[in-house]
Amino acid sequence: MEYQIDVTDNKFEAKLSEKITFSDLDGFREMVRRMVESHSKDNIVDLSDVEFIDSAGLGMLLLVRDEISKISSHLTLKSPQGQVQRMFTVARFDQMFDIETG
Amino acid sequence: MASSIINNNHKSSLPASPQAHAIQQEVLESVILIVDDDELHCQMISIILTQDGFKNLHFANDGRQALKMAIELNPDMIILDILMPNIDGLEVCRQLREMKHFRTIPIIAHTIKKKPEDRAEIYDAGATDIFPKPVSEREVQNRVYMHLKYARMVKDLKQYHTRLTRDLEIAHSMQNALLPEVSQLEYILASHGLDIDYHYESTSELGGDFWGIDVIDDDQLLVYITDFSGHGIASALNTFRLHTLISNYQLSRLGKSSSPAERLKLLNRTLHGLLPVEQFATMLCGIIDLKKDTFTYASAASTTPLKLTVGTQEVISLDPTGFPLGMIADATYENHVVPFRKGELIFLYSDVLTESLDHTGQMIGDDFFLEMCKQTSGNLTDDQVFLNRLMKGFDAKVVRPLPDDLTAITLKRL
Repeated sequence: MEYQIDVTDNKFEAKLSEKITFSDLDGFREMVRRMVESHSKDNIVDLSDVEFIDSAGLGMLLLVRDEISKISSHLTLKSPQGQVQRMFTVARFDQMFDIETG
Repeated sequence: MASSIINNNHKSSLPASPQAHAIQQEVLESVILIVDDDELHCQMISIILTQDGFKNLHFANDGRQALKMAIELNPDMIILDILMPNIDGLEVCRQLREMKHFRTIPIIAHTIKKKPEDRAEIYDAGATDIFPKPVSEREVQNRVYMHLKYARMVKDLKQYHTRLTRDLEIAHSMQNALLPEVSQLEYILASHGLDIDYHYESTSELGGDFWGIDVIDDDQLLVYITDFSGHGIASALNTFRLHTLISNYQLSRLGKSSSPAERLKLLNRTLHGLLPVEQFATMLCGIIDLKKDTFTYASAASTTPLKLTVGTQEVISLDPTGFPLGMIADATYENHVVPFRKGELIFLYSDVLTESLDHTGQMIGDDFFLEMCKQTSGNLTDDQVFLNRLMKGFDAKVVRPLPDDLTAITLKRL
């Protein structure tokens, strides 16, 4: 997994790419830490360039959700595609996250 | 010779921790064999190391005696002169390195040879390091200590690795013990006319897969397959938790009469209280009813269950949608009922079948996997074994080692 971060007033956007799997746990935690420390009101995880997510990757998204809700900020998952979109549907992520499609 | 004690780095201050202190004590108890035909050199090194606190020093005067004593003493380190009568230091070094036992111990050449090609020859013979003659007190102390400490740490690491490997093997076999026994499957074949084939492969890491089948009564069977997110020790321990929950539920009064959706709801609620936020399990739970010719199932984000008739290309994808277990406290699940008649087969499997990479680095993917199942089934006659043939096709396609445990089960009504 690779990610790029873009912070503008009160908005923290992380654009993830490639695959999100078991081996990305450390990198992902780092990303979450930066997101939490930015104290932004709106937090966006852009998934449009993510080609694959496994069950551990879904777990990491739950981790962000949990951390962001602790600081009463808002989290949006943006543009899941292909396999990621299918995993979201199967695991009913649409009922647990704000998902912006496009 | 000068006998002033020089404070070395390792002794100049108190050790940082009890652990470091223990290592220092162990290092000072190391058995060191000092080999030199010049008595004076042996004595000089002996004095230096004794000052430093080393107690177990032994001496040999030539190569032949050095080899004999090395075998007898099994030292932790050998300090070896190169120019000696009979067998020289290079030959001693070579012969020691050929013996399995001495392959990794530090052998330090102590020599007047200074030319780069001579030094290269010494290293080629298997020496770990070279001390130049004449002897420098501080260098000898520091390097002897450093090499012994390093050897000690490598030894600890190897022991740790061996222990961990053994523990993982035990954990693997314990996980295997969660799976249904062959005798149970044979019993179900005879009593319920359900022919169960399964394929299980574990990875070198611990995974989170398991499955089970239980007789509810003369007409009904309960089957489930589950996979914990991630892998490793946490995931493996969670499989035991879940297995215990399932078994307890089976034995309870409710256990006999609950629907798959009710079962998942209960398991979800219990797991939600037990698991950290990022851990969860996927599961498919189904009841086969032989009298009603149905398969009633509920899914907690499992892989897509397939239903097919061997010998035809007709493969039906069932609905895998549902909250993974342990994700939210009050999740509810939906029962789906599909016909399940004699001759039909239900195929349940872990996600590694669709998530493995092929030889071009492409992931197999759901669509291609479904196509593989259709082709495999279509190319068989109805009495041939579907799973066996599918796994052969899978083996030819994927790159090993697999990223996760593999479980695949077919349930065919006879």
